[in-house]
Amino acid sequence: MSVLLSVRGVSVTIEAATLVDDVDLDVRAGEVLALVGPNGAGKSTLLGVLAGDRVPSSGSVTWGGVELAATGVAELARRRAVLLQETRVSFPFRVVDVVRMGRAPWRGTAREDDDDAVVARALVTADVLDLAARRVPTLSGGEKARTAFARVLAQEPVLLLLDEPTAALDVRHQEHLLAQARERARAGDAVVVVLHDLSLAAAYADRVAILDGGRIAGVGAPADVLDPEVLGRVYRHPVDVLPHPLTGELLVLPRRQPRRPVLEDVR
Amino acid sequence: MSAPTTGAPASRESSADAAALAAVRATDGPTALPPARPARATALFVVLAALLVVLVVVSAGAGQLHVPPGEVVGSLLHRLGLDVGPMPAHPNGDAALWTIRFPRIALAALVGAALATAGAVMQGVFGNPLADPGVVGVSSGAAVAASATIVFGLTTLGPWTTATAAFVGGLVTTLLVYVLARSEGRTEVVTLVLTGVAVNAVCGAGLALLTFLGDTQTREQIVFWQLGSLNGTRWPYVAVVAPVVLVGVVASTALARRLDLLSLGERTARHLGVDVERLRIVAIVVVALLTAGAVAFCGIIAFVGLVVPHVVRMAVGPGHRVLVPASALGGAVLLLAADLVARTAVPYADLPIGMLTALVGGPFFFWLIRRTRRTAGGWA
Repeated sequence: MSVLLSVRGVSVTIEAATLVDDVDLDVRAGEVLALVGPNGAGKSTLLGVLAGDRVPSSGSVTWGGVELAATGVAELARRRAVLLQETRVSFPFRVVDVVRMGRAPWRGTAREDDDDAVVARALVTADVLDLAARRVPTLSGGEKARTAFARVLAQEPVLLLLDEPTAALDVRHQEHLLAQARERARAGDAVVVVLHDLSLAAAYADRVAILDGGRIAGVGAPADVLDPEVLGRVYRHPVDVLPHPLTGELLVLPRRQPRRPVLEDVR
Repeated sequence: MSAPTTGAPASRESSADAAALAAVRATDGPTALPPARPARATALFVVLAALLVVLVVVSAGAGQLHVPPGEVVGSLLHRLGLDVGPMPAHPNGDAALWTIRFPRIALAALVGAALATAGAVMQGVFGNPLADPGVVGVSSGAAVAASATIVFGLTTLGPWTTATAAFVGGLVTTLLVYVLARSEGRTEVVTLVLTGVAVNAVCGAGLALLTFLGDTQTREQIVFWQLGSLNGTRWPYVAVVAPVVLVGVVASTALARRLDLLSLGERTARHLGVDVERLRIVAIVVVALLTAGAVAFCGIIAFVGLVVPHVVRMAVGPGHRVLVPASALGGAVLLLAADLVARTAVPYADLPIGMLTALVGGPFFFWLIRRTRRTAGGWA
């Protein structure tokens, strides 16, 4: 599998705080890479570096040997799409208008001719076709998130960067979105996704990178990396990793205190 | 729940999704997508253009010296070299039309177009439907600079002196408001409005100082300026304002697609290939240019930039490719109508047009604040 983005020795320092600390990471075509880790571990910052939003304080991020910082915004837009945690729309655009905006990078190129077909497909894939004529402010949080995902798909990028795409979604749409992300990877694209749900990461990622305090605490196949001891240390909370009794896939569960009996029951 | 599956990728999609996907892939053509541009947009342009033509004819004929519509059209056509229609019957009719009425009509239309377009662009850049050159104080900034040239008798650039000063004043205030009102890539309504209050206060003080410094004649000029008026418009004014407004409206229309993308937020706009820094700077210069064009000869006419884009958005949605040109047309119509009222509502009196627009625009602004507050779920 070819390496799309190559991150070497990248650190991001803002004022006195080091958000990302000496990270080496490869983003490969054809695979889903999940970034996991506790709050403030530097996941979103690292995603910003991969997106070209943030120029690292030190180290290099290269795409095919060329520094990302030296690539123009228009060219970047044809390569990678980014789904941010917060998706706001200032004016009451319709869902279809927002998804069409994903086609902006291809304006004036031969691929512009595909616009309608691509937009239609993106609407279906993100399950927002029925909402196409609705205005965005009238949507629920999950519907807005799916609209943003459709916009990202319409951009037809080689690299998808998704920051907690499942946060606002119900179970069905969480599974559906990540299945779509994996399908993009099977088709040859690269997907980097920030996830909090470790079982989702285990189920859909080809590789998982665990971030802790801006550093990489482990990267590799889910079965190798999702180790109860490492996770317990990183999250500072005991975590169990066990096979699903029916399907055998990995489940990552935080250990919970057994419920204490309520006073009334005792009495 | 369905029976447990082996976890193969295909089985994760519900069958309905899979069927829908298959359907789209099979046809691979445009499914029933809502049209990119609603038919209402075309209707709006036609209605506004028709209103503009009617208003030009009616407004040109109305006043102390009444000229029937047929004669107005006749006079216009004769100037265009077509000997069609009747000439004004009154001996001074034709002269009154061409020396007094038509320049005033032209300026009203240009200023209205400029203010409404400036409002639409400013709202796009701020990502905030309450931005308006008058509300946030850009108009008064331009007015201070323009008044200074009157008081100090500056004529360095001939008839362009006042307009240039207004442009510089407008540019400085727009930049100031932009820097002060933004934080972390967005503009809160409260911050924007309060910045406007502060900027208007400082500019008000500046205008007061200039009024104090000026002699009786310049004082009167400045006072009428603040009220906003199209009284005494001459063709040379139109010649200065027309190119400024034309350039501004064309530039704004060229920014339209990028303004659409900017409404997704600055980061997302960047992700979609927009050079946000450059877009911002160009948009600010365009807003200052349009505001200066409007303020240079007619003073402060507030709320046009607020009312017109908002009404257009309600009619055809927020897409800037329709919004910007429709606002230009709508602004021309609104100000032409307002000026007609200003000239004819009270016999033998020329009401200040700025007073009229504020009278209507003020309550509208209040309603807009309440509505924005409700729909955005707070002071977003």
